[in-house]
Amino acid sequence: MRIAVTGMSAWSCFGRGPDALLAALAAGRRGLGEQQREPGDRWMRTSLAMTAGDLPADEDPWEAAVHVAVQTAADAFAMAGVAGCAPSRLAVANGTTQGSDAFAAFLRARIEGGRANPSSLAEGAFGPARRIAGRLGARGPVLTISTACSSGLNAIGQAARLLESRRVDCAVAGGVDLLSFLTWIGFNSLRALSPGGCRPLDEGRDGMSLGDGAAYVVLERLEDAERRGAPIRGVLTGYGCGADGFHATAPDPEGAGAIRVMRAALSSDASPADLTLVSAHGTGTPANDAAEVAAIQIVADELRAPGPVHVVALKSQLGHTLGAAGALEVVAALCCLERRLVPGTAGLSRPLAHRPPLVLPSAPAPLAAAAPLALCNSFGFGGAVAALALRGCP
Amino acid sequence: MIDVALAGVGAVTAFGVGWPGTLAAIRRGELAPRPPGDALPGAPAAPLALVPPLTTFRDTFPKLRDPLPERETQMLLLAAREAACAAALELDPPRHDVGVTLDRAAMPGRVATALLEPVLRGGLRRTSPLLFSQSVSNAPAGAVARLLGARGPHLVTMGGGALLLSFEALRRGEAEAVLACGLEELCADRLRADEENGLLREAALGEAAVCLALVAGGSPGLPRVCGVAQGGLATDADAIEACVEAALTDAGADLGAISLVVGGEVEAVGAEDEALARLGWGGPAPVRLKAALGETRGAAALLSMAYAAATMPPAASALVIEFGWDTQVTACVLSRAP
Repeated sequence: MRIAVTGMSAWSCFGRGPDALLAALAAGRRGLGEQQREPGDRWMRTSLAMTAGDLPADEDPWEAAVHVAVQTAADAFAMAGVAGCAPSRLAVANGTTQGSDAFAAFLRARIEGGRANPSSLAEGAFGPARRIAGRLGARGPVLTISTACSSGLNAIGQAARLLESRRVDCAVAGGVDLLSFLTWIGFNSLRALSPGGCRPLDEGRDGMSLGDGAAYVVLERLEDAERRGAPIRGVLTGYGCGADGFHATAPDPEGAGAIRVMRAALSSDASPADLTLVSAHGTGTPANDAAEVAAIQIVADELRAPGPVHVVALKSQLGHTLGAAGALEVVAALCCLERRLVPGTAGLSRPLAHRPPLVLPSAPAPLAAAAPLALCNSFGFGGAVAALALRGCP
Repeated sequence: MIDVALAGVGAVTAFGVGWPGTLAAIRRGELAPRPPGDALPGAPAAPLALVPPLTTFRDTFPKLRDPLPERETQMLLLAAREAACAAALELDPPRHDVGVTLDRAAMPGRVATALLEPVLRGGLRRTSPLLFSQSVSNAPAGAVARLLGARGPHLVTMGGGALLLSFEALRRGEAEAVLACGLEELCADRLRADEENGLLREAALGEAAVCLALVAGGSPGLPRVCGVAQGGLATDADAIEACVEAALTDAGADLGAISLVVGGEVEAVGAEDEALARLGWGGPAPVRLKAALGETRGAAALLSMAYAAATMPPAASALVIEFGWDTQVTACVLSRAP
């Protein structure tokens, strides 16, 4: 796989645009803020950083999610400077999970005897993809991928596949999720939310921190991007997706599914032993992180990577943005490769057991490798597992 | 590129569990939609094609215990198991080269209602962790992967796309087989919203789960999936024409080779006919299954493909046109060797 990233964008708790994201990662900042929905209940989350005028004041929850998706995707498309792509050769792939509070708001209004606004339910989860396509003039395949927390990464991977098979010449892919009431009550009932903010990859981790986010990349075949002199921000070199097949919510403790998709993603890179940076799914839950670090260790050992292979998890900075998480972490990895930065795992003090070539840094540091290869992991409920391999600009 | 064949079909529709029963009912001219009455409390009075109680599920999957899986997952498991058996797919031990894809039009509405309503009425202590695990759109596909042993590519699309992605995965050699699934379970609260949004005016909505066992290569006697295309952003004649042309090009076929067209949604009949006329179609009027099965949204395209594969003559080709709920057009060309 040789798919160029010619545009990228992110809207996170650190603001809008990849520069804001990179600055926060370089500084090791955490975007978590304390929340309280009920007395005695304490948890942490991230919220999109907004400035006046970013959203219309009376935006309903669903419209807000769509608006954020469209604006963020348009930012990426503008960066890529794509011109002359036939509408039928332009694809959109968007990852999302619950999307918004629209259904909860509809039910609440009905229960409380008010007039429920049904229009937010008319469009469904595919609203962001459809409206991104409308904004950008795309008339090729428009896909909404919903594989739980791996949705955003799978959207990018599947868009890359459409380019590989020459069905399209350009694709805008990524994900969006604004934290919904359903998501919050669900993870709360699983006792999966950290009261003090998540600490991924740490022996003392005690749960996850949810958040809002959106991120998109613009993809083109590398040779096409080079031919038109496009700004190449990175290259996708491999992708794997599959089913863990272990449990509806818990990951396989042996990490078998994760190992399979990481191997698949790395197998199509010309020099997989260059692996330098792994952006782990790293939710901060006891089950996920232990299985994932063990799986990464196995893959790195197989590669005989000279190392160091830096394993980081960004959810203690960005929150777990669910359907956007994979896309946001891909954009973060691309920014880091471009600026030769290893982001740390904020809040990490007692790293999970590992051995060389793995390194689990807690603070940002310069990236020394000559030709770094990065791997991004995303896993989700239902056993969905996915991984994407990528390199910095050639 | 690797050939893709349709090796088995499974379905759960308003006509019951099993594709042969559904096919026979369609052939007899039966119409499933009827006023829901007590079958879906709280639903609008508009006719619906509802799946009857799944009385065979616990016998088919005796190791599964109440309360899981949810009804929509039961529907999909029954359809997927039927398709895998029909295709003689060996999935024990689990296979990493057999994937599962699923298309659906909406997130699990009944699960979300069952999860949210007690909390909205009675507070947080009423939340069900079990139900939350089933609230993600890929929960039924995950259950198929886990319980039937298909650990390959795992993808869920909303509003269209699973067929295209399954076809691509097989043609590329990423999988030896894909259980390509479609699912529609109706939810009373969402139906009320649909009614208020004016979406219940045309075709009656229907429930269904369908699974096509698509295999790489396949024996010469199996129907082949020769080309798939997806595009457009409106169910108008221009979009349909472009998509059909793209599917024919993908298949390396022309419209003259087509002897059967299975068409899409009721609202687009005029546009569909106009597009086919522009392309020079002179064959019989397209067959449409919506009156029989209802508008089954996420399951509609695959049900149309299953019907086309079952009814097209030997040495002939069929064209299937369907519309995603996101207004994208999908077209697919099937053929059967003499």
